Amino acid sequence: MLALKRYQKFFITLLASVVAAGFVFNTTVNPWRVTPMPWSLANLDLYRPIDNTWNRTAKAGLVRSGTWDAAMFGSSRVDIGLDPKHPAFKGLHCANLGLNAGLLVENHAMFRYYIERENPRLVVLAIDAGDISTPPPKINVTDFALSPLDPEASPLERELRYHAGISTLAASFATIGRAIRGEVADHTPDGFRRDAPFPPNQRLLISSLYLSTTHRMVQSHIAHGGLSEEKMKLVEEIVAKCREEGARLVIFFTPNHALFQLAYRELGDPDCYFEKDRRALAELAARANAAEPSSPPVEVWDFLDGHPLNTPPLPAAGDKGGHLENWIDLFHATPVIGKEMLDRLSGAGTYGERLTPEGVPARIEKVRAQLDAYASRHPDDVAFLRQSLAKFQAPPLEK
Amino acid sequence: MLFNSYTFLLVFLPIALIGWHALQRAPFRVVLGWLVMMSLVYYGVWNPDPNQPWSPKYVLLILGSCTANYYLGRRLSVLKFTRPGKLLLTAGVTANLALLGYYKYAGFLGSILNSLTGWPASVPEIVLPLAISFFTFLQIAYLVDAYRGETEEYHFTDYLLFVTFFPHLIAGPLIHHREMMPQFRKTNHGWHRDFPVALGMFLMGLFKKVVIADNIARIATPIFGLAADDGRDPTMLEAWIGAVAYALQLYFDFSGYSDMALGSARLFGIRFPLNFHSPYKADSIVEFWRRWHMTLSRFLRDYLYIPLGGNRKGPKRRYVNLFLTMLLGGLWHGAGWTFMMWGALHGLFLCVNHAWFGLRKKMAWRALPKPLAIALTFVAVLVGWVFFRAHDFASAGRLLASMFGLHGFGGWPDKATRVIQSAEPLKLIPVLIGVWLLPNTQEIFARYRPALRVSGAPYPAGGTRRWWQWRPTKAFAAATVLLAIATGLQFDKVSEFIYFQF
Repeated sequence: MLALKRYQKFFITLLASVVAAGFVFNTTVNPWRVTPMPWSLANLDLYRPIDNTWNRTAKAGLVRSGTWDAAMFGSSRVDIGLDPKHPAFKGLHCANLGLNAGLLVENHAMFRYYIERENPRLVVLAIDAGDISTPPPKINVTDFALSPLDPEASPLERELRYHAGISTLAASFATIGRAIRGEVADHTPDGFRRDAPFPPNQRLLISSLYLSTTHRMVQSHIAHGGLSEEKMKLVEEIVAKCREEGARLVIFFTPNHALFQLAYRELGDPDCYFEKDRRALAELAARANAAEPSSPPVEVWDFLDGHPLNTPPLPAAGDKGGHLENWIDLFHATPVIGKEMLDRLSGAGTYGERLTPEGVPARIEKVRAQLDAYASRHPDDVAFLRQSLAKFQAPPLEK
Repeated sequence: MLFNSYTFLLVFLPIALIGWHALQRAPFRVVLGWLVMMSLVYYGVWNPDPNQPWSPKYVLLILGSCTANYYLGRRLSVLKFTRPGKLLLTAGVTANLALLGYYKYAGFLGSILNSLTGWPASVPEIVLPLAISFFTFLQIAYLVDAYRGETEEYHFTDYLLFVTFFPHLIAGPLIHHREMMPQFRKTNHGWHRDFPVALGMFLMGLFKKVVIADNIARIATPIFGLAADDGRDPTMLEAWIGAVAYALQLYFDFSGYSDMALGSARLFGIRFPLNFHSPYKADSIVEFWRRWHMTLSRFLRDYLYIPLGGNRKGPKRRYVNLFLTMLLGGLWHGAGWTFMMWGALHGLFLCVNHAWFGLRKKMAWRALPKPLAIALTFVAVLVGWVFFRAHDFASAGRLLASMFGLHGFGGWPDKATRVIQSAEPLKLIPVLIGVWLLPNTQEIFARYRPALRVSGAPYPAGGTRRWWQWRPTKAFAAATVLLAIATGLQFDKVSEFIYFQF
């Protein structure tokens, strides 16, 4: 009996102490910036992570913890490529709210969370090729449901997790560990990825992971065959909200390397130049501008083409250290290209073109011609593309 | 409210326990009243549509059901074994089944009618109230026993607690009034006799759910998704991995939940009946059903199979009764053809199993070697689980066809077409070893009577003392802390997908 009593006393004391200490520690470190308290340590900001596992939570934490009069929304292309310290944001406090693997549904949730708390002057919404022309995903494997972005999640459960949760505790320890070692976090305190390194053996990675992903994206794009009404409604809501708030809205149609674009053509996608996406965005902006000519215009900038920045050749076969110039893979451009994109915000630069409804046919023709020119300039790369895509259509596995 | 949520662990459970302790010197019905109130809070926080405001209608539904059944039971105990009593019992059981039928099966029946006759044009969506299958069965058993004169004059508070006590309310075990009511009245014998065992069992359950089941779900879900989608067929290896993964996921999910239920109840000094006893160690389907969801098997046996005639009306009728019992058991799990198929399959398996027993006895054949019998049983159970898990017959058929080589004898698919990473299935190996070779939760805590015995089912042997059986020692305290840390590290983990590095 005595042993049972001792055992009980030990565990009750332990459990109560862990919860209490966890609460104090978590709120002091505030690793995801979602539990700001008067005693939270401000000097840990450089060490607070926005890692993959808790990406939505930590980006929402940025919104919760600061005042931002400009923000950028989109996928990892934004997270990696677009620097909130770019001169185009001069005089503005800008947050990079790009979400890893974030599609429009999540970007809309992020935007809604942001706009409910801030009065923005400038919003950049980056939309990836094929996002608005494929259906919303059936499942979400990110931390969306655990983040403040999910309107259906229990706020009590969420706040308990942030204040006394085990994952928060692990993040707090990691943050303190980084601070002690003097290693800054993977993202800046305004949400921009500090360093996205070129992967080793980029050619192999492209032929396996990235082209298999592209293959799946093309199949989904072909199967859907049109715009997603649900997603277009989300874009319309973002446009309407920005107009209501008097914020300037700039929509980026994000770039991909030319090989990604050619994959759609190679796999027989009838809309391989994303004409539907481009037209829908251009018309949406034109409608919004016509409805309220006095408001700051909604702009759509299209970077998905065969511009020299998007068409560097692949590293040679066997060159494991080489890489596409300024491309981490076929999807993600480095901040060098991101800078060129952001230059457009202040009217500078030559990269990309502004989309208008009447300019779409010419734009499509130009993209087609640029991609043709790329294909004839780099036949080896096109052969690599065909060879890689063929792997994913192995007959025994097809129905 | 889930057991593996912060709301339960950090708010609900501490409040319930503090209140329970604070009221220990109060009259015992006040204590029971507190537990009823907390249980209704536990049930009431559920809101099927978070976009709609909370509504009390589901709390009122369970309260209404309890009140009606309580008074019906009292009347039945007066009219026991009389014709009016039988009529009243029939009416009561019918009313309970009608309520369950409306919420659980109306949509299903409507869609069948629609496909046969075109009427009704649209089938309205009916929200299934939480736990209705459990509290309906619990109360049907009470009514039947009241008619048989096997109930006492229970106090309404006791009855309410019996039905609504939160640890079993959502997903069982299906407790019985005879085993619960006496416990409600017993005096406090010291929390230290319950807390350490309760903590250990709860943590074991949490570990099973969070660390094992949730991780294995990441193998099973994509493979069953592959079978349901329009793309390629799963390869033979993928299909077997998917089926095994689901079998393990379901076992650890459900038995983990049961462990947590048993642990939660024990925190309040209440023992629940055993619900799982290493079912995959079973060497026959008959044995499997003595070890899997044992309280449901007990209910089906006592309130369906035996009233249908059981084995008292000859072998043919026995097979029909077995088949019907399992078919209805399948339907109880969900309103859908795949659940019925699962039940029918198990009915068939049981019939074949009994016939085999009979034949063996008649011919004086020796039993199959135990490992072979366990493997055969496991494969039969796997086939059943494919129907249980699949979205529809088509996807179940695709997966089974792949499992049995009708789509070729393919191994692991090419990297580009994989739906799970190649290292993931390796996780199944230690889990399978654990399932077949390690003791279960109840065996580990056997020295402290962790659960009530279910009649006709195996029960952890308490006689022989083993080194791995839990005792309140420093070594087991350290093991418990390690278990808590391992569970904690996975508690909030979200799954990642292959393209998530950016």
